[in-house]
Amino acid sequence: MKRICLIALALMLLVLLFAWGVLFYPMDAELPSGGSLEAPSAEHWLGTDNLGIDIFAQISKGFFHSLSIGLATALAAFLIGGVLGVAAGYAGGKTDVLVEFLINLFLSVPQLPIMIVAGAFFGQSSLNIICIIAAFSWAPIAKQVRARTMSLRRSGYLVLARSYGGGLWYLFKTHMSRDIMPLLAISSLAVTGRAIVQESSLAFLGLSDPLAKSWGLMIARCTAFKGIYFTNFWTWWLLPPVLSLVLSTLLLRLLTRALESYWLEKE
Amino acid sequence: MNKLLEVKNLSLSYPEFSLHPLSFSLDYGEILAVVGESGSGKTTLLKGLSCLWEEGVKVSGQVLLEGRELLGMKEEQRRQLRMRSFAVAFQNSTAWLNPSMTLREQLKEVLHRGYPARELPGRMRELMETVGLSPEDLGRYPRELSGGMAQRFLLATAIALEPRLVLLDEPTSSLDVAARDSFAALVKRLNREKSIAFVIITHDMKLAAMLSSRMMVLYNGHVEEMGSTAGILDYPRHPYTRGLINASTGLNIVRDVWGIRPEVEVDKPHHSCPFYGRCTQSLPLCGREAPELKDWGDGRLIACLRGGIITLLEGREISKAYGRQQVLENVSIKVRSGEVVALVGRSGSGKTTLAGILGGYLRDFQEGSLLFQGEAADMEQLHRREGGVQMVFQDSETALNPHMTVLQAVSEPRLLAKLGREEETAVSALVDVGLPGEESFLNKRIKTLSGGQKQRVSIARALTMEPAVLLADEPTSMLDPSSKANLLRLLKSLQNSHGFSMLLVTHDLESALKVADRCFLLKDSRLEELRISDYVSSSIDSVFAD
Repeated sequence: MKRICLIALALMLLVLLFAWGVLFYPMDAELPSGGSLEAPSAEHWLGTDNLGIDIFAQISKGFFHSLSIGLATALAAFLIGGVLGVAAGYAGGKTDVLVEFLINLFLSVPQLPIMIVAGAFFGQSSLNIICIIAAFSWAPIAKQVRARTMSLRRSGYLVLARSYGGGLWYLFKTHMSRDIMPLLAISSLAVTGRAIVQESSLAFLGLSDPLAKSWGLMIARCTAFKGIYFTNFWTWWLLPPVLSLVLSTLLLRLLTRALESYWLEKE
Repeated sequence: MNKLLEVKNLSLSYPEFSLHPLSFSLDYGEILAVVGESGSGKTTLLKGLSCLWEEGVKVSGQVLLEGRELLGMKEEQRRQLRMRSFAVAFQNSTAWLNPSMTLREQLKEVLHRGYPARELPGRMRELMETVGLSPEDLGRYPRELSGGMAQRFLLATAIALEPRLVLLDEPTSSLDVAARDSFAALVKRLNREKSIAFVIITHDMKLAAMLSSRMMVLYNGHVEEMGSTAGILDYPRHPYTRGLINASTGLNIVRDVWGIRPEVEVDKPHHSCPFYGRCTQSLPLCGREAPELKDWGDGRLIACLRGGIITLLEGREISKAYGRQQVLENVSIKVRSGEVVALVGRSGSGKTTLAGILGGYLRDFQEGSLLFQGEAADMEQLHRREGGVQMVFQDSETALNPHMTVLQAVSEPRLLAKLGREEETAVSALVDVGLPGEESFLNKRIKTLSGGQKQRVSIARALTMEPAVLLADEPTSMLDPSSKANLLRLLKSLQNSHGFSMLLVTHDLESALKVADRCFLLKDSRLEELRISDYVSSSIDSVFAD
């Protein structure tokens, strides 16, 4: 419990920092506000890029872009994985066979190549990115939820409640949600972290919305800058987006793990 | 062939009690036992047969002894027949002997009606020896006799003039086991050697079982069942008869005994089945109509509108295989109304599978059918209505949602089945299973309860649906010996008071034999009925023996 609070606090600080960066930091994230490739200073906390745009402002904006894509993906995965998992586990029979086939299909295909192809095919917009990442995120959730539902389904109280005439919604609400919802929530939180990395990967490859401020795009532009490693420009242009990516996904991952073990302990 | 005794529509009515018209006949040399609880009209019947009723009793019908009608006869004529053609030995023997006369004088009084005086001493000695008393006892006064001796002497007076028929009223009620057994042997010998027919009035089923070849069961002035003694004891078909047998300590030396439940409060109109209210299978019809004594096949006469004990749940030729492994093969089982059936077998023999199928929770069996009250069972409906089928699952840990409160869990069935009165029934069911019905307990979470409490809550939940058949799968397997004993007794007493039928599934053969009325063994995917008496018996004959 203490660990969860600590990690959540760290995450909150990160969010506040970037929120401050978006709301109160005087530099603009879109327009040049200084010279090209200025080193960090009191004015430009993390310096500027080759176009003279402030790096900290870009990273702050990128954080909310990444986070919103991550959360939207997680929500989609939560819904798809939850509904399909419960349906397969509860109904059994043909539904189960079909859903299990889909789960295995999405788990077994190599994700990145397909994502790249799909991303290239459907065009570069944030919505498409969300859809593509969500399509590859629901399967593990559905698999877990399905297994859980199946074991619940066999438990005496569900068998009996069904025999007394309890409908599916009643059964889910009264007898299954308490066991399934935490599982769903935790798996979805894990999806958020993964989605941020995947979005950055796609952006790095140029498959994301080119206008949006994204960490992946920043990294791509930086690494594409000829001779970046001959100077020390990379220390304030490349490192900040990479570190914020690592830090935010790491914190999310740690939070998921802590919640998971807390829930398991409680069981 | 002529009958020794023929009774046609004999009926006696007192202001507060009446013996309803009954008919039966008795062959020469036959022994008929009339059994029933106190107040069932046994002694009234005897008074009617022996024409010894009090003033103000209305008597109707006919009693024909060797073709002569007794009831319409003048008392002088009847006196000629008394002792010569038929004799009576009443209950509470010493009270019928004159305390100021020796046995010799009393016996002489009877004998001189049939024998010349010089034959009397020899005849007396002979009679005393026949009934197992010594001729020296003739000089004693009744107060010097033990109960058994008095009973024997009374029998000696009854057979003194060699009648064809002797009526015995509760001959052994004041005797100990050994005395009863030797008295029974005496009656049997007299019946065999002198071919005297007996009508034995008794509430002792054991005595009836030992002596009679036919049995008549009386309840509240009505004949409920009549047939061969062996047949009735083996398979009683009236709920009352079964109740009497289950209540008999003599027939259930080792097993637990349970009396018939006292009358539950029902609105009982005048024209109703006399057993309505105590019966476990009453229909509304039983409250409106009195059943006639009818032959329901194989010579058994039963007074029941439903034709005797009905079969509630029946599985016919059920087969089930998991993959290649055959678990059940052509299994047929019947659960009758108001009985406890045990299904025993070793672990993994398929008991739970069979219980699941019978309970309607396991639908995918390969062959066979389920019947409820003789009709194809719609298990889905039976789970959702009162008087249906309910099951208490083996694992009480997963049978209840751990996050629910006790009240939520127990009131859930009626809530979902939309039967109403959820909370009220839940509380009374909890009280029935011995749990507190207070607010603080009702609001406890299931996960905070102990294993035994969860088991009871599970049972209470099933009881709220007032099932006709309750299936209990290993209800005691997780419990310690004392809780197990308590739970078994609880289940049996609930069964007894609520009148439902119970199928008890267990690997615990010992407990099963203790509480079950019938027992089935599941072995090698087949079902076999065990005769409980073959396995549970005890010999106590030697304890009181001389």
